[in-house]
Amino acid sequence: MNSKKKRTLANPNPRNPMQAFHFLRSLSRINLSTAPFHKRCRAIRRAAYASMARSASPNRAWSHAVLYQLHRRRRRPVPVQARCKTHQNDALRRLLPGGEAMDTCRLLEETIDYVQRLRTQVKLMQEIVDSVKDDAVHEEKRQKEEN
Amino acid sequence: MSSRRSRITEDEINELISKLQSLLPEARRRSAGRASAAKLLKETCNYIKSLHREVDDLSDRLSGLMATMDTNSAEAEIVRSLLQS
Repeated sequence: MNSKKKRTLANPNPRNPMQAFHFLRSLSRINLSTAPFHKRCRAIRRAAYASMARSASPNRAWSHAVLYQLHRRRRRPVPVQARCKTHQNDALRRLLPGGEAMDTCRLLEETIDYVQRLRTQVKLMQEIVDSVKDDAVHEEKRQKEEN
Repeated sequence: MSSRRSRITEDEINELISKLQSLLPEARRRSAGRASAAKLLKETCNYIKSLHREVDDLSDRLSGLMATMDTNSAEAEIVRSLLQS
């Protein structure tokens, strides 16, 4: 009996498995296609932001902005023209999807939610990368043992 | 809803600011400090940019790994363990 200890993945956000679910589903679809490396990489990146947005609350403006930008094939917001008087919020408005038209209070709320989703996405992707690498190492060892 | 928005209190803003500060990782939190909201916003922007870069980097790595992995077993395992937790 070959007892290989497979590393079990930890869901970075157990209360909301939807982000993981959306992302994994997109990954498996991407895997089935035989696109070249750079296209696959771009598709994975788009899937990352899409799964963040799809699992967010529908009242989050940033999630709508992200999905809209993905639909228009733009990942990052279009750079806003530099204004004469720069306010301290400006840089944040440029970074947060949909941030241009918000008042300060909303901007902060949306930023908090966006950062939380982004962090979860990063942890999720890191978990997957680590797990796949572990798989590969296990597989190599197993094959060596068999030979 | 709109009447609440038109009377944004100082307290509400402060609460949001401290929540935002708690989201930043330890190192950034220290350099942001308590004093300046402007500094906090700047650190937040830097943090968001670094998270974007991490997503880019991880997409690269995932793309490379997916090319080599045995799709059926690895994915099934990942899906199973992630949805169980």
